[in-house]
Amino acid sequence: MADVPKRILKEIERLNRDPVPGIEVNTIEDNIRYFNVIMCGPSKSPYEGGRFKLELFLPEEYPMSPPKVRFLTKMYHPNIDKLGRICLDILKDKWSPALQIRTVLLSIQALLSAPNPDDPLANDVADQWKTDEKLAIQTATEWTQKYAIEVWAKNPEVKP
Amino acid sequence: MVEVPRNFRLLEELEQGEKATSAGYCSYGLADLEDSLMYNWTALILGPLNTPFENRLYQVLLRCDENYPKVAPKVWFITQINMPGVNQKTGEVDLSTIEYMNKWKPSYTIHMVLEALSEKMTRKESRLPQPDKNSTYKVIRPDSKKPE
Amino acid sequence: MDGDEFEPILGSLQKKKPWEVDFKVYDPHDLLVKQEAIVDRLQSPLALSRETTTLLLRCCFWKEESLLESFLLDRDGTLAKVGLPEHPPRPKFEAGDESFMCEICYCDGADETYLALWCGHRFCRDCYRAYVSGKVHEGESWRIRCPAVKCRTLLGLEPARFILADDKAMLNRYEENLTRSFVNDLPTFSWCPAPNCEYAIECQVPRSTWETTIPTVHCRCGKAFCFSCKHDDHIPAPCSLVSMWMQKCKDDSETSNWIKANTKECVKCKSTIEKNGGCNHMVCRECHHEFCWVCMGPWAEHGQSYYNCNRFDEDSSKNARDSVSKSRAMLERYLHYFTRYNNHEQSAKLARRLLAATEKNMDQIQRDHTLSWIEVQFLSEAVDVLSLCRSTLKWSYVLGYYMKSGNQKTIFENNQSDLEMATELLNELVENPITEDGPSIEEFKRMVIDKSTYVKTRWETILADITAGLQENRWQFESE
Repeated sequence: MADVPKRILKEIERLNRDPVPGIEVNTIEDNIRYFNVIMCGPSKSPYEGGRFKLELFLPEEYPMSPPKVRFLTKMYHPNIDKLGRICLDILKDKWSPALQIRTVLLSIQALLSAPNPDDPLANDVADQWKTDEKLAIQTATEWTQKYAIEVWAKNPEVKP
Repeated sequence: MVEVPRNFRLLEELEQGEKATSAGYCSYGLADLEDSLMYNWTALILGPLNTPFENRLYQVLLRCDENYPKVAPKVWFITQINMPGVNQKTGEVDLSTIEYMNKWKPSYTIHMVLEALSEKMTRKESRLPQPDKNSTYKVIRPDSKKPE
Repeated sequence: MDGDEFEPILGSLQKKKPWEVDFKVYDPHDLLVKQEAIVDRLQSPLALSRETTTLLLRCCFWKEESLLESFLLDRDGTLAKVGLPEHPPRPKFEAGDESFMCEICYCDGADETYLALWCGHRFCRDCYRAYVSGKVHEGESWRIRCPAVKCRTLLGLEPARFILADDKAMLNRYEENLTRSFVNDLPTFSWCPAPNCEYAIECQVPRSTWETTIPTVHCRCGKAFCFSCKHDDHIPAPCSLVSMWMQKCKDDSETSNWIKANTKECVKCKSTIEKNGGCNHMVCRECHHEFCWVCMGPWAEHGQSYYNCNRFDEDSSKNARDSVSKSRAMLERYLHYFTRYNNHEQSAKLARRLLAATEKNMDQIQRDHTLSWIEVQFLSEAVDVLSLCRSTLKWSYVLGYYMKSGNQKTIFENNQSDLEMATELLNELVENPITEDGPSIEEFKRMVIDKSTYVKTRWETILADITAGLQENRWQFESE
């Protein structure tokens, strides 16, 4: 394994010492730059009660380049596509090397509370969100129930 | 070197495939746009000029299992093709017989597999009589989640 | 304008043709001089540091007048809007203290050296270097900001140069990016699209007339391109038709297989014939059958009027259309135009190869006939004319494809035929090497010059007519 920058080691150390409320971060075997994340859906959102799986990877250029993150749990959200890819400015051109894994995950959690259908990644979902927000929120709630709540109840070990 | 995990490596390849201009002679993408494991890929290769494959489009299926890119993808021609290295009953490609692909390396990509197949089409040993245009192999590929 | 003179295209003695536009070519040094001149002009009226003046100009895309106006109306507001201090402090590295910690690499303490912009965000020297180098590597220049989260402070040119001072290569790249951004940010400037060409072109022709006067510009490197869409020279077809056509060709090439690239079969003996010259008069090597490459008909029937095959004969195709479906007729109509379009493209490529052969040929002529270099230039000039006409003919088929039938189109097609016939004759003449029993060199030269002059006249006629038609809105186009 290549030398791991001090910054990454310190970030991991801090995440372990002082975990982010509602977000679990675990390294995946034999790749210190690769993490499994479980994120709790924010309250007062259609994602409330759900536990969502994500994967996060710190590329070689990190922190000069943003981390790569995607949802593994199926999401009904205008800024998240079918493969779980996330449209969020700080993961793209608004990235700052002073941002961290912690702040990135908090921003993603905030995105769940405040969907932005005007900057969509999933066009069909965004259209639904704009034309009938109530129905869209209902679908998101159903998906949360199906893919982020029931899955865990049936078998806590299973990959959602 | 930092090792890029399978899923993020495939996402990169997908993005390159999506961005690629049509100027190329091959294109590729996910076979199932909702398959978040990105298991099956579908590709098209345009037969090179001045070969028996000229003016024909070849559909190819590639399967990247959990161990990709450490292990090579499995590759099948869907469109029938008479070419060395391709099993005439199933369309399966034996990558060990394809130049540039015989020793798989994790740095190789789906695009490079397609390039190598296209290169194979231009070789002397591939100057063979061809089956009817647009005929396909009628087989159920082993451990295929969705038979074609 | 600041008194820059545009270069006349064909020498100052010749009058500008209706289809030609004014433009000026800049090399990298000219571009630096141009930028400095604009900064010079604004620095004293704004009464700001050179650094701030430059950044302000860049932030407002070099719109001098609107910058000056908004600055005079609201000095502080203008500065604040772009996040600039009036007098930015000189950049310097400072020694860290107990409270210092770099937010990028998490190094801390008094052993570290840091830099802070006027916003006060401190980052260590190594991270600043890596950060700025990374941005420069991505092509950025003046838009680089303080690395802190959501901080809008611009790094500025001087701090960037200060941080990169020890990395000459990166510093050069930064300066290149600044110039690159200057050209990209000004709508009247464009880079030459030729690979590795470092010239830029300024063209002041207003955008509103680009559809009627196609802004074809000629770079000093030899590349001719359209200033509007950056496509290779596509006169006489307007950009909108070119883009429709290119899309169509792209769509069709993926689904159909009709593109016959470089080979055809001899109609008589079926042996494969490769087109290896630009001329349409083909002779089969096997059976010596002579035929026209475009319509595959026997050459003898063409005589001097073989150019008939350049027209999609609406009358004679009527019968055919009754018996075949409409979509088939549409495909055939498209194929008709595409074949001719593609033929001129292929011939133009061969013409370029011909030029290389011609140069050898000229050496030979020079040696055999003891002529001076200048006296054999007629051949290379003839090939230049050929290339020009091939390009115009090629794009004229795109124009024809979208043009509605009618009297106007008939006139256009007659002009097209004239040019096409003249071009083929010149091509054939130039392609044939001089032989013992052929005409003398003096005769040959006279023939080539006569033909070239005639072709050039036909070329000017068709371009003048098409341009006039576009400007008078005389042509009727229909999209599918």
